[in-house]
Amino acid sequence: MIATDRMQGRIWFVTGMMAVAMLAIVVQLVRVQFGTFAPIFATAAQIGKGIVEKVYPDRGQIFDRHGRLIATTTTAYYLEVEIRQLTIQSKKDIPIVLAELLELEADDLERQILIAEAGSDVVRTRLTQPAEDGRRFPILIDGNNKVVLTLLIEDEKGPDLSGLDLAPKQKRVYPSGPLTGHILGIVNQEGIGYFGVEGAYDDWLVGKPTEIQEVDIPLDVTSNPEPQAGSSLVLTIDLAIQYVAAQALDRAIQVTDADSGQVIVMDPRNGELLAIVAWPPLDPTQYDQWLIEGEEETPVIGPAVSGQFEPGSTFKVLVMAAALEENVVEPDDIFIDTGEIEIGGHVIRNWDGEAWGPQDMVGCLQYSLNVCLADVGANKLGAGRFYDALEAFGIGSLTNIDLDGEVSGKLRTHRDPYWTESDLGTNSFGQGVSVTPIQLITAVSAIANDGEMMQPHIVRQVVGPQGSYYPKPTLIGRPLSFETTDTLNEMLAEALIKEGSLALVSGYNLAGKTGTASIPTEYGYDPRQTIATFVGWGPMEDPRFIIFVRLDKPKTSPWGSVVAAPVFREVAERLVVLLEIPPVDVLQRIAGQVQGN
Amino acid sequence: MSVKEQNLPKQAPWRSVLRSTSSALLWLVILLIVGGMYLAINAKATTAGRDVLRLSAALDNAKNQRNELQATLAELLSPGRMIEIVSSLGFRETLLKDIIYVPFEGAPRDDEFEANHSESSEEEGSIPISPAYRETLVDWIEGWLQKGESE
Repeated sequence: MIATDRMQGRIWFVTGMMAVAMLAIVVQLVRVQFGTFAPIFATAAQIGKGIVEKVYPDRGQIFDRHGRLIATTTTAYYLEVEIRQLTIQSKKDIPIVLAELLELEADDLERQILIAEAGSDVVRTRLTQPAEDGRRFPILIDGNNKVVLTLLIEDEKGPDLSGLDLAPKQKRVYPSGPLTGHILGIVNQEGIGYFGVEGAYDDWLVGKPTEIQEVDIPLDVTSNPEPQAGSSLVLTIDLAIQYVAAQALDRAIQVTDADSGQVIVMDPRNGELLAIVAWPPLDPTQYDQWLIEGEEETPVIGPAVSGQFEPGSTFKVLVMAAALEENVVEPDDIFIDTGEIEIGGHVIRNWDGEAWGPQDMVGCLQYSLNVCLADVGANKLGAGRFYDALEAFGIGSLTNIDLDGEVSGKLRTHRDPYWTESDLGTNSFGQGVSVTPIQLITAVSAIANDGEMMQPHIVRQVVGPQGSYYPKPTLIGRPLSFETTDTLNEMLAEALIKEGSLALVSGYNLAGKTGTASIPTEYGYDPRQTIATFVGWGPMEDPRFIIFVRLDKPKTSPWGSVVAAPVFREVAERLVVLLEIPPVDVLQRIAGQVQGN
Repeated sequence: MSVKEQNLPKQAPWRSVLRSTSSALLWLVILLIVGGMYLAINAKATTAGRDVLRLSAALDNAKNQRNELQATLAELLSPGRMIEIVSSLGFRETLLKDIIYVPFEGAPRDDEFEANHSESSEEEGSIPISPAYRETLVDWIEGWLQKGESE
C-alpha cells in the first residue's frame, strides 16, 4: 500500500514537471510570435526564405538609322561589405587589396569598415570614395577590375576577402560619347531618363521590373519570371551626318570664339531629324555640372528644343512667305527704303542704320532690310494676318517633337492685352519674339516642302516585346501654297547668288537666309553681342535637307552671313556626298537622257 | 479455463517473436526503400537546383560580357574612331570634287536597318522543355487512352 502511494506521488511529480515544461514552451512560443522581439524573428525567418528583390530588365538599346549602337546597358558593381562575414584577417586585407587595385586610400576604406562594424544595426555597408569637392560617391567597378576582384575573392590561397561582395548595378553606356549627348539626354543613378530621347521614351526604354525571391538553397530553386525587357529604339539620326555637323560646329566655335552653338539637319519631306549637335557638348555620363540651377551662363541640355532665342533676320522668310501667301506683295514690288520707319511710336532702322533706296522684295531679303520687312509686316499684312500666319507656322507652340524638355518660345499676339503696335514692327524682323531652333527649322521647312509642314521626329522604329512600331511622318500644317513656296524659293536662291553668299555650294542650287539677332538683356539689347544664324535647304529641284546653324556671341564677326553661312556650306558639302545627291548638271544630263530615250 | 480451451494447441513463443520481428523488419525495409527513393530524388533535385543557380549566374555573366563587347565594338566603330583609323592608314574623307556620277539604272540601295527584339524579353514559354519534365501522370493516361482509341 505504501509502495502504491509512493508510485502515485512519483507519477504526479513527473506529470507536474511535464506540465511546467509544456507551459514554458507555450509561453516561449507566444513570446517569439508576439513579444517585443517578434519583428527580429520575423526578419530572420524572411531572410531564411530568401530576399525578395525587384529585378530591373536591361534598359532598351538605341541605334542610329543605320544600326550603329549609340546607347546600351552594361553592369557595373558597387563594393559592399557584409559585416557578419568579416574576419579579423579580412578586415585588414580588404582595404589593402582595394587600395592597391583601385588606387584608393586604404586608411579611408578601413575606417569605413570599422565604423559600419561598430554600428549595432548595420549588417551591410557600401564602400564610398571622396570626390574633389569633398562629397562621397559609392565606388563602382567594372571591366578588368571586376574580373580581377572576382578571381581574388574566389582564390582560397589569396588574401582573405571574406565579407566583400560585388552588388550589381545597371550602367548606361554611350559608345559615341558626347557626339550624341544632346540628343540622348541622361539617365540618373536610379535609372530614370531625363531630357532628349532617354527622357521622352523613358517608359518604353525601362521595361517592366519584376519582384523575385532570391533563393540560395539549391533544393528550393524555382524558375523566376524574366522581367519584360525595355524596348529598343532606332533613331532617324545618321551618325555620319551627326559627326560631320559636330566637326563643322567645333571648327566654327574655335574660329569665331563663340560661346555656344547648334547645328540641326532635317529632311523637310518627312520631318526626320538627321543630326542635332550642340556646343558645348554633353557627355551623358558626366552630367552633374549641367544640372546646377540658378547660374545664368549654365548651358541647357538639348538646346535644340529648349534653347530659346530671338531669331532676328531668319524670321524674315516667314514674314515674306506670309505676305506672298496673302498676295499683299509681289517679288517685283519696289519699296523705297528711307533708312527708318515708325510703327506704334517706335522707330525701326536697318542693321547698318543706312537708307538703301528703291529695292524689290528680293533686295529686301538679300540685304535683310528691317525697314522693308517692318513695312511688309505692319502696313501690308496687318496684325491679324501677320499673327495668324505665324501661328500657322507653329511659332509660340510646341512642335511636340519626341524629345524631352521642349519649350514653346514666346509670341505676343494682338490678342494679348500687353501687346502694342510697336511689337508688330519689331516682330516683322525677328525681334521681340523668341523661338527654339526646332521651331524655326520646322516652320521654314514648309517653304522647302511645297508648303507642307511635317512634324519633326527622331524615332523611326520602336522594337518592343510585342513587335515593332514605326511612327509615321505627320503633317502638322499647310501654312503656304505650292505657288507661294515656288516664288519664295526662287527669291531666296536669287538673293543668295546675288549676295555671293558664303553658304553657296558649287554645283547645287540652294536657298537660305542669314540672321543676326541682338541679345536682349534686362537693360535692353546688348549692342556688342549677337546670335548669328543661317537656315538653308537644298537642292532646290527636290529639297532633301534643311540645315539650321546658330552661333551665340561670336567674337570674330557678329554677322550670320560671315560666321554661320560657312558652317552651312561645310555641312551641305558633306551632306550631298553622304546622301548621294548629284549636282544639278548631272541631274539635267540624266533628265536629258531619259527624254532622249 | 474450460476443457475446450485447455485442449487448444498452444503457439510456441518463438513463433510470435519471429512474426513480430519479421513484421518490424518489413516496415523497416519499406521505410528504407521510401527513404532511399526520397534521398535519391532530393539529391537529383538539389543537383539540378545547383546547376540552375550556376547556369543562371553564367547566363548573367555572359549577357554582361556580350553587352560590354557590343559597347566596345560600337565605340571602336564610332565615326571619330573610324576617321582616326582611316587617317592613320593614309585615307581621307571623300570630297565633292572626288566624285564622278555615273547613271546606273537599278543601282542597289542600302537596306534600311531593322532592330531585333531584345533577347531578355523572350517569354519563358518559348524555351523548349522536354516532355519528360512536363508530362503529368494524367497527361500520360490521357495520351495512352487516345492512342488506344486511334488504334
